[in-house]
Formats: sequence, structure tokens, C-alpha cells
Amino acid sequence: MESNPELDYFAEIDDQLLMDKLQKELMNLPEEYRLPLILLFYEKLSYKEMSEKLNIPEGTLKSLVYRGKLRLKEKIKELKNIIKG
Amino acid sequence: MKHIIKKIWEDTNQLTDWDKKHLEECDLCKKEYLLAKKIESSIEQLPELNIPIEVDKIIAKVLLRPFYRTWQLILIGLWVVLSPFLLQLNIFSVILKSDQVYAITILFVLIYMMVILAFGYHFYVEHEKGIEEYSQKIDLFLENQLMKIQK
Repeated sequence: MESNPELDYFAEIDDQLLMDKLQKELMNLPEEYRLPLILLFYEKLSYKEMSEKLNIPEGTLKSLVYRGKLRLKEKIKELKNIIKG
Repeated sequence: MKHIIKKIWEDTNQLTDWDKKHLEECDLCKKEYLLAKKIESSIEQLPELNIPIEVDKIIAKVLLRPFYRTWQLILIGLWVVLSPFLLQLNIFSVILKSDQVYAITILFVLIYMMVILAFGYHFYVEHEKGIEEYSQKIDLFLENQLMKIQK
């Protein structure tokens, strides 16, 4: 799906800056949120694989991923507000 | 129109054909989708990370510990709050008349609440401190592992 500037929440922010900020904020997340995100999107494990590997219910992992991403979203909103001044 | 924002934030890769069609029609969901995608791709493009296999057990502990401790605290709290009421109501209702039981119950509740608040605050502070210290230990452990790999 192509990015449309009107729909792109961060259209006015430089992509590299946004990426750096996201990665920095990811590393600052509490472990319980950061590690499932890394295993899911970086290590490319499925929820099922993560669940079997870590012996944690899929529902718990989904909830952690969901909450972790929302935390990142909030952090990035702060960046947008700073840039907007 | 039913929005799919929660589903988007759980995992954009698990969207169905219906969800994708919905994204074409709904600007609100599409905006959230693009944002979630950006966050996911920032994780995918992280500089090289090596997560040693033996770290899995530590990860599991990190993931479970805060939740375990929270539930433990809730259960202890419930037990502490409820058990004295049940106990004293049972004892006093046999010995005293109903209005006396009522008055003593009020007094008992006030004293007990003060004690619970004091102890509750203390345990809450200890609980938060414990999680933070544990997280720091894990960070240190992961950093050491990373340094060993880089060497």
C-alpha cells in the first residue's frame, strides 16, 4: 500500500530522523514490550513460535506487542509536537 | 463502518482481505495503518542484533515476572482486605447485637484501612523498585552477551 502524504501522519518529518527516533525509543521500552516486538518484527517469529519458545500464551504476547507499539506511537507523537513547535 | 484500529496495532501482517479492502475506503484506519507500518519497519531495519539462544529463558522470566508480581499483589491485597471482615463479622455477630456489630465494624474498617494503606504503599514502592532493578540486570546481561559476540 503506497503512502499518501495526506494520510501520512509523519509526512513532514524526515524519514531517517523518524527511523532513528523510533529505534532509540524502542531500545528505551521496558523489556516486556521491547522483546516481543524484536522477536516478532526483527527475528520474524510468529506469535505461535514465540509462544512455544517462551512458553507464554499467544494472547499475552499479542497484548504486549499491542501495548508496546502504542507506547512507541506516543513517543513519536511527542517528536511531531516538538518539530511543529 | 466498523474500524479495525486495534487489529492494525496488533499486527499489520495479520490483516485479512476484508481488512485490506476496508483500508482503501477508510482514511482513519489507513492513517493508523501507515503509522503502525512505519513502526514495524523501523524494528525490521534495526542494526544487526544477535540474540543468543540461552537468552530465551531470561526473556521468558522478564516477560512473566512483572505480570506474576502484579497478580500476586492483587491476590494478597484482596485476601488482606476481605479476610478480617469475614472473620470479625462472624465472631461479633454471635456475641453482640446488630447495632453494636455495626459500630464495631465501622471502627474496625477505619483502623484496618489505615494499616492497609500504609502497608499497601510500602509494597507498591518495593514492587516498582524490584521491576526496575530486575530490568537493569537484564539490560546488563544482554549488553555483556552482545559484547562477547562482538569480540
